This record gives sequence, structure tokens and C-alpha cells, in this order.
Amino acid sequence: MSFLKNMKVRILLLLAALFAVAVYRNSGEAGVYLSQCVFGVLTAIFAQCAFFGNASKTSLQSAAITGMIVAMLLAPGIDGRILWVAVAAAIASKSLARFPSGPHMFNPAALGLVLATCLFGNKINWWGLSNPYIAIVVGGFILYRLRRLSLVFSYILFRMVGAWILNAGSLSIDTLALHNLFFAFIMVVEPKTTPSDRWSQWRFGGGVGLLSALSATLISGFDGDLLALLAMNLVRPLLRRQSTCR
Amino acid sequence: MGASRKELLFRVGGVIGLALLLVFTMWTRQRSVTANHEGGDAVKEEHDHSNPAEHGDVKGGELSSGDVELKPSGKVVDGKRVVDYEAFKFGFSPDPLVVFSGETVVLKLKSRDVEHGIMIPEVDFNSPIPPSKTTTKSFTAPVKPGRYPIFCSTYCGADHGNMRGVMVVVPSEATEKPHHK
Repeated sequence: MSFLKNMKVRILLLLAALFAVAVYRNSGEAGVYLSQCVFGVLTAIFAQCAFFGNASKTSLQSAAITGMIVAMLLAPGIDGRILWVAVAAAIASKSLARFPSGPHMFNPAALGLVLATCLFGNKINWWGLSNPYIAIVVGGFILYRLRRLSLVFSYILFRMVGAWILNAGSLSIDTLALHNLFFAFIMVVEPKTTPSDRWSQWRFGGGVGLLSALSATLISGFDGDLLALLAMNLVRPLLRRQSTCR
Repeated sequence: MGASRKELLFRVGGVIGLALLLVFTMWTRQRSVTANHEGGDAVKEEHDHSNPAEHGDVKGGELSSGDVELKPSGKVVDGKRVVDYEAFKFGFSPDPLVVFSGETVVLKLKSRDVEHGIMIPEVDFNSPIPPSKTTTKSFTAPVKPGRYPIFCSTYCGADHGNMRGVMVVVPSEATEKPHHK
């Protein structure tokens, strides 16, 4: 059971659990869900080999996570070409869009999905959030071990504050509770594209939350969370630099 | 084997794998489109016969025998089916949305609570549904009768991933005469 200590394996198991619940709830279409995930993972693995020229266990696990996330966010039964483009773009971004200091700039899944949305329209459905409790409990445990929980708390808090400010005229619990749990516990926290120290994490997550609330209000029909994450990915080196100066 | 040669092999293998997956998905898509056209032909043939569900010609969407007796949603205005369609946490109304095959469907979209979205992948239809506002959008129903999923495309809360509806496309002949078995 030593493989369970591997964070990437844990994340894959979390995704598998959410996938299993989705299939259970839609058992009549299990084949559609399964083929979409298998296709996403295979595309990611081939893209990883094509863009990086290696197939180490770690890199394949990363690719599988990206492929699975993209597959679990696009609507079930979607045209396979859209999934292919989104996943291939996600993996390509890890190779092509990098900071001079080394790490890739953008959350790969978010970039692939935003690019696919630009090309084919919004096909994002977030069916991967089949059970919020699994996301919170298992995701929370993984993030606690990864020291990334500050990102989740800051995102949720500032998403609420943003919604509260922007919807002051017609405020409701529904509006306040529009933070996306799959996004918070699985996407925002990707270790390579987020700061590692707590103060920077609060600023990063807070920025994602505020921008997310803002874009959800201003841009209808586009996934504001993903745009906000990409924007904060871009300014991440600045956060770290300012944090170091303190 | 040198490291650079190994890297090259992985790169070439990856590119070939990606290309094969793309070809595969284009092939399955083409098959789906062809089946849809065949479904359309089958519908035309049904006008000379009886209930299409009994013939087993309806592929993919799995139209059940009870579906052909469903009453179409909304009303026909100027040859188009106009339906008041509401989204709420976490469902759609009316559900199922029942339309005739191949007809133009105009949806008057409203939300009861927060912003939702509607996505019908089969007809490439997608629209946001903002709260406290009616949005009118139209699409052409698939030629092939069947049941097609409808999803919410805007994150609307913790159970958003399970928010879905169904569009039932029925052949017009069968619906106009539901009891002619």
C-alpha cells in the first residue's frame, strides 16, 4: 500500500471516486462516462510523450490527472474532437508556456478548457463534482498533506466577499454559495502553478475568488472560475517576489 | 539506446498515438452523423407504416414505447415550437422537453434562482440563463427520434454536476396518432 503515499495517486483515486459516483448515478450511460475518461487519459498520455519525450511514472501520473480532470468537466458524450483539443492543449501548455525560472505558467486543465471554449463554445459541465462530500473530505485530506488548504479557504472566502459586494442589491444565500467545490479542492490547488508559502497562497486564492466573482458577474456564458485561475497563474511570480520581500 | 534516441521514440510514439486517437474520434463522429441521417430516413419511412419504436429503427437515443405518447411541450407559433423553459436548482422544467423531430424549437429561458446555463450537445446548443430575465434562443431538433440529455452549463451550486434534463424527440406521425398500434 506504499503507493497510496504518492500524492498523485491519491488525487487519481479522488477523481476515480467522483467518477464512480457519477457513473452510479447515471448507470444507464456508464459507457459514455467511461469512454470519455479513458479517451481523455489516453490523449493526455500520448500528448505527454509527444511534447516531453519521456514516459516516467510521475509524468504519466500528472498527464492522467490532467486528462481525467478535463474529461470530467466537459459534458458527457461530447464530441471527442473537443476533448482531444482540450487535453492536447492542456499538456502542450506545460511544455510551451513556461516562466523563465522553469515551471509552467498555467494550470494545464484550465488552459485546455478555456481554449476549447474559445474554439467550440462552452461545453463545460462540471459533472465530475458528483458528490461534494467526497471532494471536501478526501480532497481536504490530500490538501492538508500538501499544505494547500489556505488556497481553498481563501478562494471560498473571497468568492463570497466578491459576490456580496457585486450583488449587494439582490443578495441571497444562493448567490453567496456559488463557489465551485471541484474547482476549489482539485483545480485551484495544483502544486506547480500555485505558491507554496501560506501568505502567498492567501493572496493567490483570494485573487482567484475575487476575479471569479467579478467575471461571473460580467461575463455570461463563460466559466469565470477558469479565467480567474489563469489570470492569477500569470501573476504568481509577483506574489512570491512580494512575499519574499516581506 | 541513447537518451536522445529514446526521447525521439517517445515523441514519435506520442504523435502517432495522438493522431490515431483523433482519427478514431473523427471516424466515430462520422458514423454517428451517418446514423443520424439513416435515422431521418427511417422516420420518413415510418410515415408509411406505424410506430417507429416497435421497429427498433430508433438508434442511440433509445426512445421507449411510452415516449411516443408524450405530448409535445409548449405550443406552435408561426411553424415553430415555442416553449417556456425554466431552470432551477437542480433541474429543468418542463422535463422532459418533448419536441418533434427536425422542427425549429424556440426556448424562452428563465431561471428561478441563480444563473444557470443550458447545453444540449446533440444539437450544439448552449445558452446562459441569467436570473430575473427571459432569454429567447432557438435550435433545430435532431432528425433522429430519441432521448437526448440536457445539462446545466453554468456552475450553480454543490449539486450542479447532477443537474440534467432530457429532450425527447418524437417522430411527428407517431405523436399525432399515439394510439394507432
